[in-house]
Amino acid sequence: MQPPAPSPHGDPDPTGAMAPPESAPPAIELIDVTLRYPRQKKPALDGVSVSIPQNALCGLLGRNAAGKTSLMALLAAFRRPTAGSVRLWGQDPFESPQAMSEVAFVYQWREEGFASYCKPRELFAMAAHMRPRWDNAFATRLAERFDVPMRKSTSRLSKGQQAAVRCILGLAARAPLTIFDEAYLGMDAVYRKVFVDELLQDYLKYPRTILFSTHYISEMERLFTEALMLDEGRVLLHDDCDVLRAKGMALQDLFISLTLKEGESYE
Amino acid sequence: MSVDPHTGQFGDDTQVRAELDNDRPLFLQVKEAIEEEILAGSLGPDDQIPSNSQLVSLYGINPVTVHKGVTMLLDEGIVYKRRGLGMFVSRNAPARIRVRYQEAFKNDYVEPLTQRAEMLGVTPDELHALVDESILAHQPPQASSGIADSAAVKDHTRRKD
Repeated sequence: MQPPAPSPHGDPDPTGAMAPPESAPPAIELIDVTLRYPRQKKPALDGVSVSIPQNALCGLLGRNAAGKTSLMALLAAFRRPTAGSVRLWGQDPFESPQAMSEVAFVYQWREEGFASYCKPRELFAMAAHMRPRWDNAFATRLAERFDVPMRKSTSRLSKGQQAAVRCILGLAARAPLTIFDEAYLGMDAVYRKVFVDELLQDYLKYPRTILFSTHYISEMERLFTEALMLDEGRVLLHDDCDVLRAKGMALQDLFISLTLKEGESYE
Repeated sequence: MSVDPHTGQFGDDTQVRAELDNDRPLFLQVKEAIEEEILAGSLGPDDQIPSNSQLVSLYGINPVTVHKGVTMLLDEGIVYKRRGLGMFVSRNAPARIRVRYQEAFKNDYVEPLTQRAEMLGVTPDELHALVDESILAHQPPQASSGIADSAAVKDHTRRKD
């Protein structure tokens, strides 16, 4: 086993200490955040308060339309909350150039979006300019592992390959806050496992805060240190995953029992 | 055991359990998996335990949880740390783990066994016979030949009489 490469976050202990100093501000802090969209009666987020420590691997779980993507969009400063405040490392990310380079948001592209006209190697070149910690050798190695053709427009790639390109952009950016919104959707089971393995190995060398939304809870839950469950725009639960498991229930079963609506059944 | 070849390898005789349950704390299961290896002797005193990175890769779980399990082994003195090298099995670890697991043996194994036997209508005598049978079946060949030898010796002495 090779010793881990020197990390920008300090010399990693081979035994794997990755907790930030006690005094470090939380990576993510939302205080009583509400987000309303125009002409929609119900708010997408409704009085959300949550604090996520630095270097957490947090699973963001919720049924469809629970508010996951809205929360992520606030963190990426794509939107501003209707009320309440958003803080990343103690600072407001909105219109902050620093936050722009420190937060990587990986989400599904629109069909005709800008990225679909670019080739993976062009997207990587852009990322190299915008991301101070971009590792091109890592990105290239990942592209080989996911069999991504570098010189084809992404719109002509398969769904799985497009997902791989998005995941590579998220991983190789090594952004202090990396947000994956169902990033691997379209990848087959083997590639999903490769993705998780690569993410974990890279996290060991370069610990960072990762927020990860998924509907594949039982497949992904071991990745998370903590789980944040949203339901109808509110925080349903936020706790350490092993504390939750100590109650004798897998995250998936807990999630289903908490979010099943009246009249719904699940076998 | 399957370990991703590009991330690391274990010794051929190391067989850390690669399956974890999702309904119990993962850090405890990582800790127990290593203790089981020490108990079984596939990790002996002063052997290096798998690195955190190898455990992360093996189980596909987050490093924070692996670290928590390994730190617990360190705090309990089951493993010791050699700076820059990793974690190694303490000299007295096998004995200490055995004592602790023996304490849990009645509750974890014997109680469920007798309860199940009662539920199935297996009589105490039948249960004893089944346990004896199972013990005999698991005895290593040398031990059973030992019994044969002693029987032969007995036979011999009897003949002498």
